[in-house]
Amino acid sequence: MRSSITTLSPTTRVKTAAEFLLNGRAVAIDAASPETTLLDFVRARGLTGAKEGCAEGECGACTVVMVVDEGGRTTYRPVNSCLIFLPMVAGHEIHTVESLAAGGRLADVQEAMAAAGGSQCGYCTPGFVMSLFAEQYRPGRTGPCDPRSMAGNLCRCTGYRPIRDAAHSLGPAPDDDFRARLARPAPRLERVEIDGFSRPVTTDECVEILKQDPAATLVAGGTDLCVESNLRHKRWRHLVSVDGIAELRDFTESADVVRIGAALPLTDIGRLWQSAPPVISEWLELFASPLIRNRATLGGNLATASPIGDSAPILLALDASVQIAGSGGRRTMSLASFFTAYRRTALGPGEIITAIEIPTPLPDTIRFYKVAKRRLDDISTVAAAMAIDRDGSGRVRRARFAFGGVAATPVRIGEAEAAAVGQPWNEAAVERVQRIIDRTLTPMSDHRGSRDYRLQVSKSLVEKFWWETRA
Amino acid sequence: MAQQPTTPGGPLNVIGKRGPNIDAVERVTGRAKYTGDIDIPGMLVARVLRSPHAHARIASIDTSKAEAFRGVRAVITYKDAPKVMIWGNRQYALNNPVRFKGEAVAALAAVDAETAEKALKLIAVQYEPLPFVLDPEEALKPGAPQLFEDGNLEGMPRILNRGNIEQGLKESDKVIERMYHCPTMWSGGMEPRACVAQWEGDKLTLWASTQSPFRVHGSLAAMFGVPDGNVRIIASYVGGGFGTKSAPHTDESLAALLARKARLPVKLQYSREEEILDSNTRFETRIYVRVGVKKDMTINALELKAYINQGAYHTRLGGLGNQATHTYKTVNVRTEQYRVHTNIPNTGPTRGVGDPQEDFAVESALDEIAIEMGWDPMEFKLKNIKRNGDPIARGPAGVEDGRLITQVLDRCIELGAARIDWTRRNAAAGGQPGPKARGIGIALTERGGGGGVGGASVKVNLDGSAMVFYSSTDIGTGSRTTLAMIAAEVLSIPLSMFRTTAGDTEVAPYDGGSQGNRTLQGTGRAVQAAARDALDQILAAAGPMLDNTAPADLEMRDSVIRVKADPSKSVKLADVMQRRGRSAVGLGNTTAPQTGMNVERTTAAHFAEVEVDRETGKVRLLRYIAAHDLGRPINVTVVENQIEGGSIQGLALTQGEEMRFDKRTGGCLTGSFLDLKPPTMMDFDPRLIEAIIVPNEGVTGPYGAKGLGENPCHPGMAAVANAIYNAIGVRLREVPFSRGAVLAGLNAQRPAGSRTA
Ligand code: FES
Ligand code: FES
Repeated sequence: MRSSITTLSPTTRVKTAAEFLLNGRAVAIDAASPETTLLDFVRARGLTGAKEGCAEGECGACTVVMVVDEGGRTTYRPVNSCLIFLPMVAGHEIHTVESLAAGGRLADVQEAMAAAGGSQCGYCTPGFVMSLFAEQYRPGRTGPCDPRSMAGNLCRCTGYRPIRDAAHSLGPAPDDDFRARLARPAPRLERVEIDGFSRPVTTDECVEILKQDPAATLVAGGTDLCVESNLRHKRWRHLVSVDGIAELRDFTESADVVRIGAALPLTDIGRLWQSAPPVISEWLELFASPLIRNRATLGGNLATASPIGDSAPILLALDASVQIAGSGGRRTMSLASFFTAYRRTALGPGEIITAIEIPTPLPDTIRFYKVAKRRLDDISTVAAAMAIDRDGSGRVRRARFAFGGVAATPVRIGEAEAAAVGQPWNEAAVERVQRIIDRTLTPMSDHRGSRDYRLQVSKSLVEKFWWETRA
Repeated sequence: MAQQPTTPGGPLNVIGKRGPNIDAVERVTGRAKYTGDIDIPGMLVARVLRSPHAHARIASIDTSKAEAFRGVRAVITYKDAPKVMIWGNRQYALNNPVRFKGEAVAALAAVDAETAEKALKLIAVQYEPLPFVLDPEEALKPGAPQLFEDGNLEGMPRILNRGNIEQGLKESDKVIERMYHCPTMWSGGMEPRACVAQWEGDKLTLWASTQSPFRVHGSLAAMFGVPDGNVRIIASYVGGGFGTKSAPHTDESLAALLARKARLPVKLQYSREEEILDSNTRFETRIYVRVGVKKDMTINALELKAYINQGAYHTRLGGLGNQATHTYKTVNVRTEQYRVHTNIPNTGPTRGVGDPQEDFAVESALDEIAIEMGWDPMEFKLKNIKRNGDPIARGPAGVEDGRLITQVLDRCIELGAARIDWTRRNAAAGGQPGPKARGIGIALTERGGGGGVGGASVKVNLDGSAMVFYSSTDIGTGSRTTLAMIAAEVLSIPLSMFRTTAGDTEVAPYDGGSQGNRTLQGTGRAVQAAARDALDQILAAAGPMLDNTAPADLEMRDSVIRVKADPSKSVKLADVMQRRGRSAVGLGNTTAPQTGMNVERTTAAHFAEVEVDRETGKVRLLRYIAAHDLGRPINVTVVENQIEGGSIQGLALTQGEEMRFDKRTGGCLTGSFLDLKPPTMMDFDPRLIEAIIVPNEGVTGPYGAKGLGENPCHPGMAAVANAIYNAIGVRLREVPFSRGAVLAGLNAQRPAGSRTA
């Protein structure tokens, strides 16, 4: 159905079915259903070490590693194989737990997990092993392995202590084939065209595909779409992956703007944004588990326009704008006007987000708050980001109050911002802001939190922000 | 360990050490095969159609389109379900009417998952919705929707009476009345339910993710009317159970029915959502407590009236434990339990059964009354606990006809209090100024050890290696390891020479299964007996090779048999076995231990320290001490894992894992991990939990071991609630302890209009 598309660039047209390397062997991607997950695929091939615990990215029982490029360095990244559609791994190198002891000897991480008693029922274990494996081989790592690398893996049996002990007992990666692999470049993603799935390699190609097939659906990290498929059996006629578009994975920092490619995984944002204040890494950590961060992208998170999406409040507070490309050309709009209604955005048909731009210098004081039952990897009941700049006399020069979970879309409360500007940052200012919140916010009640609770939390977060930032 | 393990036979060589699980390699390499990993040529995939109504009669059901769909091999509805209950629990494999939203209405088997999913949509069902009820107390009111013809109350109210409660309360110097509520809570493991059924003629083999293979075995033999020997259940590797897999369940019956109809093997694997909805969860309890004390610090009366929400069907009947009757020396005790059916999913025993809920009520109420009297809650509890020699009930009737032995609860309290430094506790609750306040709380618990009938066999091979066969399971409790250690200790064959076959009802004798603290004690005693039997055979065979020495004068050490009187005369085990030319197969079929008047229990004291943020309502755990009596530890690593993992599960109950139901539809609102939030490594810093193994030795279990699995999960809710009270003076009587509840409690404390800063 897309023969017209493959003529875009006839010389690089993919002639054979796409392939990937699975535990060192080339495997053809069978195109029966593009929504087959990598997890189902490897398990059907008898590689049953990776398990299904939830099929929605919440447990890490399905963890495998992929070989990726990290700014010119090759590294292993653990990912949830339940959240990757099979065609998305075309050209990739994937290792499952079966790869580790293939030579007959246990890998260090396996030895360590066994010795520490880090495996009880063992159902979670292959997932932990793969997360920890990637951590042990992380280039440039010094000292013991960081147990936080396994924050995306759930265990119900242990109290996590033995798993943590295993991480702490591990030294440098041994001199083996896995380490040797890191000396060579990671695979470069090429164009893929198979039935029901496209992976263009430039923005123009992508826009062209969308023009030819307006019903096509974009997929970035896949962390949302795969859940739709796995749990609600949603199917798409044509998925277009933006994984291969180099421009969308760019990160640049200039004197007055930070530009983040829309398809850059969150992990890389943290890695590349060196001048970022600590609040940025805190926010990334609260956003999702490391496994999700290795795939999830800002473009994907903003495009779903979830009222409780975690990226919107902080990007709103940072005055971010969104760069958009479409067949009509390119445009930039402020994020504040990007969300139009519940789960609606200003994206026109055939348009894609290419980048998010954040003006610099950033506000003097920024805080991000996420109120959820669990600390990480959870849907917020209320998320808030607040920023203020003060002049020499301590009066507020600029204020930003942005919230998620309190209205149909993520919102900035302009009225409250205006009320704070020009005033001293004190308890009276807090009370003014709180009164405006009471009047203007319209949160919903659901099982995560009642209307009143959300309002009360929103107001106490303003107070907390003041308490933390008062002169 | 302070204590040097010894037995009459001399020092122990294997028992009491630390060590990794003997099957750790299988688990860390991903080679361990769980039920969902099994693939049989020609195997079909099953999917289940579930009710969209909380309560409805199926007026008609038309499966013809689904049956005609390409790739579908069998479809079943309630009409295909034998009229034999799954487990004496009012539930057939498929039922009409259906009694909870998400109950199985039909199931089908097809060549692959995609086909099965599509075909499910072709089953046409007409429902006649019926009124439904979700609340256990509502369900008992006149005019409430009825789930069963004989009403919603299951059986008779369970009443236990000791002394005279009314008089006891009247003669108390202080009485408080409180209600404590625990919602329905998820309790599952990482592996969702799974089974594979295969019929060969009228012989059924079922691989199942179950804790108790022989229960499933009995259930299916009865359902299909085949002899016991025609059924084989295999539960080799099980990805956690925590009670949810302790009884036969719908999925096993459905897979077996489909496989029989399709004449092909069938795999049925639940999604996480199905596992949450259609499993066996922790039952909701509403417990009304009255407690009376005398000025001399004695508990004079303790009454519990509990409404237990069993859900539509009881996987097994739920009930309280013995916190009220067995922990304290209270003379006047009454417990009254109403087990009520409502239109929510099945509930039943999960880790601790009703003990965590009961513990929350009893340990909170005692904390409350102690504080109201101006007493230190720890001193108060220490004064009232039963000690060795105190009367205690042997049976469920509650008559105190026995005598408590091997009890070290006082030591648990003392060691735990010293570790957390109980003296740092706030003398006055909520006294600390500022936005954050800290507090410390204590909660005790107790439980039986779980013995009963046990069965196992031990086989020593011709080369001197050995096997343990048992039909209870290793659901993550380390039983493969600890049971092999027991056999290794008895035989003195190195542990590295052992393999185990767990959870197989064809190769191993009958055994009660893995629940209720029983595997180590129940199966463990059988393994001990089986290993002794095998040893006797080996020594008898060695006699002729050692100048016809009588077996009683021989001993085996490290796989070498020696003449006791002259150790220079020896022969290697492998040589004995080679010459014997037959394996030595020892059998252990043990009955419940006979202890006469003596009653052995297993106890713990937990201490929580928390920090409460007065602005956000957030409760942060700072430290958690879990001091346990478990008799003699068989493997210290396994014990620590059980205590720490169980403690985290108890603590998780305080934070979430609540199953919420939509009042308008009866549907579960929390059908995913995203909603239930089992704790990750980042939620509880594992270093905060400290296990204390209180030195002790029991008398009923192998080598003095007592069961342990359940207890660590009991006291979390009460310990944290008591600590929160100590921090901010807010008493939480409803689980979970949400930020909203904390803030509401703080708001209620404040004079109107005031704010914190
Ligand atoms: S199966 Fe749970 S994260 Fe993939
Ligand atoms: S060992 Fe059982 S879930 Fe981790």
